[in-house]
Amino acid sequence: MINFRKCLFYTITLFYAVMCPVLILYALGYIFAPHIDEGLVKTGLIHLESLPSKAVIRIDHRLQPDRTPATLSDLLPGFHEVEVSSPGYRPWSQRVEVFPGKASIYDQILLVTSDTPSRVLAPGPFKNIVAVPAAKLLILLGGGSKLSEAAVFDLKDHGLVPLFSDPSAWAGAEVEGIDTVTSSSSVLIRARRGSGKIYLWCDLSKKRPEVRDISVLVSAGPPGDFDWDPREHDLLYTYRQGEVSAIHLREASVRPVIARNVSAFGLWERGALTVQSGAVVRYEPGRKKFQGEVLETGEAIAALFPEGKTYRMRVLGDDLALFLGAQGELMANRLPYRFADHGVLGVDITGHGEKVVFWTRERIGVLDFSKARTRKRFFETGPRVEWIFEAGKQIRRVFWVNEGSHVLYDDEGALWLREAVQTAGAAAERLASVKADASVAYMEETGDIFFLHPKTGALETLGLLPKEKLLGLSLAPSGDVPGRETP
Amino acid sequence: MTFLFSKENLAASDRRLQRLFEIIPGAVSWTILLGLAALTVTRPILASVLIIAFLFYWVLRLFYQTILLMFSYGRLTVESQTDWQERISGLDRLETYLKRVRSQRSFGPPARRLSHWFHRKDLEALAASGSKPPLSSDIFHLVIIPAVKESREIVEANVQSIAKSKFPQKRILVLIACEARAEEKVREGCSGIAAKYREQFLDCEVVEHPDAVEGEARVKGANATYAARHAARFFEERGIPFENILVSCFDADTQASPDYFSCLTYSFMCRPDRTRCSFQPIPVYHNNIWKVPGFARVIETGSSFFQLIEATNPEKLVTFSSHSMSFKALVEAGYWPVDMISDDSAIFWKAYLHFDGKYCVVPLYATLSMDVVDAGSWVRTVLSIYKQKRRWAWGVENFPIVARGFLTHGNIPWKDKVRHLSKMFEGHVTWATLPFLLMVASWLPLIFSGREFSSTVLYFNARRVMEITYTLSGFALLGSIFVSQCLLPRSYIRYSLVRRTIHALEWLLVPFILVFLSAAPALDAQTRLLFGRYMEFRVSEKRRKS
Repeated sequence: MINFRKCLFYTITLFYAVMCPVLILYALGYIFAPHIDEGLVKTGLIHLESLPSKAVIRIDHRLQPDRTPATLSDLLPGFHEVEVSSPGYRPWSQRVEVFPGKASIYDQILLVTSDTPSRVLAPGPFKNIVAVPAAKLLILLGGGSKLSEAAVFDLKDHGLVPLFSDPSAWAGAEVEGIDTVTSSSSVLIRARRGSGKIYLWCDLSKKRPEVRDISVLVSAGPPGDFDWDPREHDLLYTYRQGEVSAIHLREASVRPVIARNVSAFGLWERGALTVQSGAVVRYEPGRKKFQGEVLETGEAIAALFPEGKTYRMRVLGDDLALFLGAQGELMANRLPYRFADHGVLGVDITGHGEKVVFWTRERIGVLDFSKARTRKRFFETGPRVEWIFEAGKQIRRVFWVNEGSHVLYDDEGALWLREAVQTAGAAAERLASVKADASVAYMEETGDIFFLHPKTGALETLGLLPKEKLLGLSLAPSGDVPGRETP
Repeated sequence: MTFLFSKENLAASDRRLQRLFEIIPGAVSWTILLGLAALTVTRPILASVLIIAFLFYWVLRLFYQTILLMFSYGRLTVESQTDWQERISGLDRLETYLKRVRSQRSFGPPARRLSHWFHRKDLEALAASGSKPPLSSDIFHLVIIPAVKESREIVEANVQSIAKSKFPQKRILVLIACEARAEEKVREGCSGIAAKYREQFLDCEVVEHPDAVEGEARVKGANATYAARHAARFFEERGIPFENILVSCFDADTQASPDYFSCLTYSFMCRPDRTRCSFQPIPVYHNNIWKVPGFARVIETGSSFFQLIEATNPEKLVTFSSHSMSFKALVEAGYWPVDMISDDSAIFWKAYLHFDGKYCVVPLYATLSMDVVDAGSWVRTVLSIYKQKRRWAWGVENFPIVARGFLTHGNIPWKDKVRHLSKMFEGHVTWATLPFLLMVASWLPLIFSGREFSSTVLYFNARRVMEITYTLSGFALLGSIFVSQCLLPRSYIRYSLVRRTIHALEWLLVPFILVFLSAAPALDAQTRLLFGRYMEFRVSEKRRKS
């Protein structure tokens, strides 16, 4: 037994002594390639994950035994033609450069169905749609944007009902815009009847929408922005000409002006956050009046927010906020602060909150705030705008898709899908034609796109994400940008 | 050579040396764990390379141990049908017996032939040594059963198993070493057992160990030593030479198989250096195996496996739990340490140092059955097992004493010193670190790696190596499950297929057991020693449910 044990021990020890360095070298990417001059070559690998999974992989036109998700190792450094395909889906192909010891990772390949068939949900004709993801419904506006013809389409049971129980009360009124807020099932409808303005507060969380006319509470004056916290149903903020006011809906009372000379305004932790006179101030709603607390002051703040310019603030986390100016300026509280000087029409944020896509008429840019912090430099640089598309004609709306791997955008009457990286040769996929002057809605939690047919004005839908993806997603509303939909 | 096998009453220089060696195991274990954790953050590539080397080592070690386990179990099975009494009788007439064995052709099933082959090898070695074994009729056994809070039922089952021994019971002296501090009920129980079985043995006595003896700690070794001194007087009075006596120190819950004392006597007679030997049986935990929670079953079966594997390496074997040894060696080495918890392993090291390295442990392919820890409830059993394993791991207290002893014992060859010390050191450090490295640390580079590392070939290959490692470990685990099934007592095998299946599935608890009930208590024990927070003996809770 002793001799057997010794023999076994020395055999295994010898095996370990020889094979361990070999294993480590292999793990580091080295392989012995006798046909290459060097003999020992440091290879790289390509990691591929696709949606749907189990897609066929071809590298340099050679079929691979593995299907996605797969890690293809032992690849010699240099360029390789990679193709991922699945029956019924458009193939994804890319010229991928492999570096020694490095992994080229493509973990969010989204395969789009070949024919992308759309489905008619309601014949219409409709003029515009507004999505209310928190209530899982769409508001549809009729041909003339008449308030009395506004309808609600329930995404759960596909039922179409009028928004108002007594439409005749709003006869003659035309919708100017509908304001929505992420995670809120309430909307604010702005309408005009003759020279008079109408403001309607609609709670869509109930089976039968509750509509309340708050025109009296919204004082006369120039049009401004509205905002509310989804957790504070009764408090509506208005921001116009550098002044922030609040309307208490339950008490039907208007709080006096909370803050003046406000350069930027947004909501944060059940309170209002402003930038005013070179200071960041937080206002917390108290029993009788708002309590203001200066959080930060500094010359840099004053320099960033010159007098006369106003910004809407979007707080993305404890230490990240975006500022969208009236002239389309885009700023953030992170270096280098200014990201676009003009022309930005809107922003969309991923669920994680650190990746932002924004757009102008012609361009789509991406800002990744999570990347910026990994680099240690003498001078902090902050994130850079990555322009992923610059040849747009009339980009109206951009959405994040598949947790930030792709962007969906509406450009001059067509819906397009594109990877959210600046890759040479990466082409956009055309998904459908849509009504050019109408909005498009996309719901990440279901992977469905809602749009109006360009000719018939019918409400149609298109499933973008395969079902296997949806199983892994929460049913919570996605991080859509609050905003105004103007017909 | 005079060497104080204790951490107490040392000269200043020895005390410093002792303290230094006390610090080393814990310090090394913590350095490995924290060092690797730090490396995963600061140098993920280096950490991953080390982890790959470690995982490869682990897989090979696992297969190596599984092969040894299979072989050792095979040997145990082979010897299970052996008639030891017949062999003992043969040894009394060595020359004619050897001739007869030589002339006998191997016959019967392979197991029997293999047993015959081992037997013939033993006899050849004994004959070649020129050493003449004592007559079997001159050999006596002393069994010491220390008791402090065990119920009469547990101790009586122990004595009863000795009474069923195939070895002539009139040459067995049973001493129940009862602590004076034990409850009245326990002491009465011990007295009742002694009275009941006295006539069956050479004698059966209760030796009451007084409490708070100066120089002693409240440890089992002190109690056993007190009883052994009593036995020495007993044998002296009757003129029985110590070299013909084998002493077995059994835990109170031990139950010897009927063949145990015969097998022990045979091994004793076969050894030319029989008074320089300890004899280590295979501990199994079958007394209450189906009456305890599953994790307790798995962990104790693991202890049996450990001893089966160790049995294949007699050169480095150390005594563990219930075991036997030459009474002469015990007396000459100065009995069990009276201030150490790990008396089972400490007596080997004490004798090894006392006899200048000319002392060894002989594996016995016979089993002693003991109780699995059972504290009543699931939670209490977990805690009790944790404390029991910590006590076992407290065997690390031997390291500083043995290391100090090796420095002062010039007669022990350096090769042997390095071999023993490195084995002891490696054993304790891997006990405390290996499961943590395997289950926790190896994931760290994958979890905490930055963007830069996660886009390297190494990141992906490390993940692949881990997947392969766990798959291969699963195969080795299947081997363990197979042996665990075979080890179960026959009566239980018949008992229920469902129970056997449940027992097999319980092995899925191994990752949890390795980390929380093996590595954690070992690290705890080493950390206590590192900081000089010495442990006291705690009796594990064991009970028999009817």
